[in-house]
This record gives sequence, C-alpha cells and structure tokens, in this order.
Amino acid sequence: MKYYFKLQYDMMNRQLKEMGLHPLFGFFIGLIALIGGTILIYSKTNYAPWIIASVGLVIVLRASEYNRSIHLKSIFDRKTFREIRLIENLVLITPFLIILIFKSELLVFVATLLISIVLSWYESKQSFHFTIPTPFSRKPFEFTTGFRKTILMLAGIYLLFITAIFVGNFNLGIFCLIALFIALLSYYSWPEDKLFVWIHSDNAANFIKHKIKTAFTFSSVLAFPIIATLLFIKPSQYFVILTFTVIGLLALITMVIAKYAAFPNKMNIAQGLIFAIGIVLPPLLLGVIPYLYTQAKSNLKELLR
Amino acid sequence: MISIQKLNKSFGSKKALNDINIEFVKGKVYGIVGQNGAGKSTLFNIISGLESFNGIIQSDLTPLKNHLGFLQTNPFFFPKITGREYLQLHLNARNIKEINIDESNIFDLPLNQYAQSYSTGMKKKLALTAVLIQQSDIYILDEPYNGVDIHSNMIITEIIQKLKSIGKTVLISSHIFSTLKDTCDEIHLLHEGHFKKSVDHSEFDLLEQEMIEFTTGSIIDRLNLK
Repeated sequence: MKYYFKLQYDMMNRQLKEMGLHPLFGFFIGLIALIGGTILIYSKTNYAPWIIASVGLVIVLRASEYNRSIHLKSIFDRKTFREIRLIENLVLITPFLIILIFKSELLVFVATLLISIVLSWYESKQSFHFTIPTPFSRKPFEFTTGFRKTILMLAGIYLLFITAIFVGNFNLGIFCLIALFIALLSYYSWPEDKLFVWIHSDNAANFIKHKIKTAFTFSSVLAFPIIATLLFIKPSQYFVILTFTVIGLLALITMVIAKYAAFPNKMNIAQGLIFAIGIVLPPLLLGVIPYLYTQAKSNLKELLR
Repeated sequence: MISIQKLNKSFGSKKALNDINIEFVKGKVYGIVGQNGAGKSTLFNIISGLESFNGIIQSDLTPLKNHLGFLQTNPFFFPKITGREYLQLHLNARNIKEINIDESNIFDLPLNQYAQSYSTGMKKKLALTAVLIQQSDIYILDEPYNGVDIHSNMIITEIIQKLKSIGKTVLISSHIFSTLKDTCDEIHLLHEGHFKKSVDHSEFDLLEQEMIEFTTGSIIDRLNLK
C-alpha cells in the first residue's frame, strides 16, 4: 500500500514535469489557486462554503471511477482496497477541509468529511449503452465528443439563458454567451493520438484550415440561438453582443491553433500564457494567432507531408 | 514498392532498429515476427511516417503516407465516439465519399454504440474496418489477430488474401505463427532491432521450429513454478 501511494506521488510529479513545471512550483501554483479561488468565491456569494465543499467532493468522486476501482480490486485484497480508497479520499479532501475549518464553517466541515468517508465505499457503475445524439456526427471528432461530454453544461447554459430572457437580464444573457464559448474551448483542450492527424491526406496548412472551419461553423450553430435572441430583444446593444461573439470565435480559433502548436503534447505553461494573454487583451490576438499558426504548421509538417 | 536502406532508430541510448535493409513489392504479403520489443511496431511507425529515423525509405507512391492503411497494435479510441463516427472520421480524413458504412460493416459491429465500450476484439475489428475502407495501396497490420474471435480470425485471413489478389502490399506482424503461414509470401524474423532471418514459403516450418527452440529453451524453468 505504501508503494502504491509512492507511485501516485511520483505520477503526479511526472505530470507536473511534463507540463514544464518543477513539482514544488506546481504545488505552489496549486496552493495559490486554492487560496485565490477561495477569496474570490467568498467575495461573490454567501454559498461559498458549500461551493468549496462541492468542488472538493467532485474531486473525491472522481477517485471512485469504475475502471480504477476494478483495477485496484484486482491488485489488492478487499481490506487494503478499502483502506486505500479511504486514505485517497481523505488526502484529496484535506485542502478543502483546511479552508472550511479556517473559515470556521464547522457544519460544512463535518458534512464534507463524513461524505468523503462514505464515498470511499462508493464505486461508480460502468456507463450504460445509451448514445447521446449529436448534430455533429458527420464531422467527428472534437464537437462530436465535446458535445456529448458537455451536454449537461450546455443544457444548463441554455436554461440560464432562457431565465435571463424571462427576467430581462441582458448581462446574464451575455454571461451565457461567454460560458458557451468557454465550454467550446474545452473541446480542443487535449491533443489527439498522432495517428488521427496522420490519417489525413491534407497538408498541414489545409488541415489547420479545415479544423478552424469546423470549429467556426459548429460553434456558430451552438451560439446562434443566443446571439440572435439577444440581438432581437436588445438591438441597441448590438455592439456589445457582436464584440463578445467575435472575441469568443477568435478565442476558439486561437485554441485550435494553440492545440496544434503544442502537438503532440498538451499546451505547456508558456503556450498557455500566450493564449491567456491573447484572450485577456484581444488586440494581441493579431500577433498571437500568426505566431501560434507558424508553430502549428511546422509541428504538423512531418505528419502531413 | 517500398525500399528501405540502412535504416537506424534509437530511443536515447537504446538502439531500436539497426541497419534495416528490405524491399516490399506490390502484390505480396510480408510477415514480420519477433519477440516483444524486437522493433516490429517501431519499424511500422517509421514506414508510416509516425517516427523519425536515420536512413532511406523510398517508394514509387508519393507521398507514401497517403497510400498507407495502418492498423496499430492498440488502436486509440476517442471517448464518446460511436463506431460509425469513428469510420466516418477515417473517410473524411481521406475525403472518401462513396463508401456505404453499413455495407462495410462486415464484422457486424454495433456501430451506434460508443467505440470505447467495445470489447478488445471488437475495437480491433472496428479499427481494421476503418483502415480497409480508406482504400489504400499498402496495408500495415500490426497484430491484426489480437483479441479477435475465431470466426473473425478466418475473415481477417480471407481479407489479407483478397488484398493480395488485387495487388495490394500487406505487412503483418503476428504472434500467431499459423496465421502468417496461411497468408504470407515471406516472413522476416526481427531480433534486437535487425533482421536475423528472412524466409519464403518453403522454409516457414523450419523457421517456426527454430523460433520455438530459440524462444522457449529452458527459460520457463527460471520461473520456478511449483
């Protein structure tokens, strides 16, 4: 069991190193993100302790994943398996418990601790064979797989948008548009296997062009109902609506190109920073996009001759 | 035709392939055998253009990669992609429009289910179907028989023979020697990164016997099974 946890620690360090971070620096960034996130959540809502507890429990829940549990059970005896799962859950929830105790949220602290312990007995079942229909079937894979993975999030965004329309809250409507583009950005957040680039008969430039065209078309399909409704109910705000639409589309295009600029690896910290700067200061995208495009083209040249 | 000369490949200080020289001609089936780690998959990745290398690979088909169908040992599957979408992706990649996916589903796979939920054998059959519908000139099949049932085994052997009869070049690796004997014109034994032996049909049995003696010997005794 001791060796198992040593391996988990080593794996985490290796992942941080692959991201171009020294493990200690990675832990430091994690700590800053946790503290910063806590301060931000507490400044925005009264439900902060519950949100923090929920985030922690979602992370804990991920450790109950079906294949993972099966794998652990196949290696360890029942008692050791239970002990591992309990220790894992407690380790994962500890940072969130520290925040809750620091904020004197005793009730939430106890509830979160108990739920984490109970969850160590929980094993998620294998997903059932239901295929979520998608309008993007003809052009796999980013939007096909992304749409299915984020279907609940998309439904939530559209529901929130309908609420925004009914209560006449324009800003909430714009927030929904931003949230939609953030969801779409996640479709391009991980690199595919090399073979799925290799199988294309296009050259690198055409391949990237194709990817951008697909991202542009499909994201427009998903964003159109929100944009059209906002323009219809608030035509006077057309400049704001179009500005956010253009920034959203540009961010998506940048994301597509950034993915292949880092290919076959995930985006590293430097590339992530360049991308983030471009999004925060959109005029800089005029420089960021060509820079990443050149990198992407040279990256794909070997696979797409 | 593919001509490989003085091909070398290293991973760090480890030499994976050492001075490989071989020719693969049109309409022939080539078997590549060897122990795990002998360099079979590395050789296939290099021919496909997925790995860098030192040496010369020439072909009358240019660019070679656009004429190749490559079945990997462990095909990768995206999450939440159906079998049908997986095949569609392969068709789109080569801009092929005239193929009917349902007709091409010769293994009767549940194409509307997520491919990741398939069994090992079903995944292999889906990946093989994807490679076949891309209508290539050269096929590289890395362990095509892995995990598939006996019925599909026979179909795969038939497919390879059909590919040969229509003038395609096929490169196969397999740990099941009998499948290679049924399909190959030549078998090449890869050992520690270089070709140790190359034989044609008349010497297949001899090679098999040599491999059994070489591979097993007395190594099982080292396990100290009680």
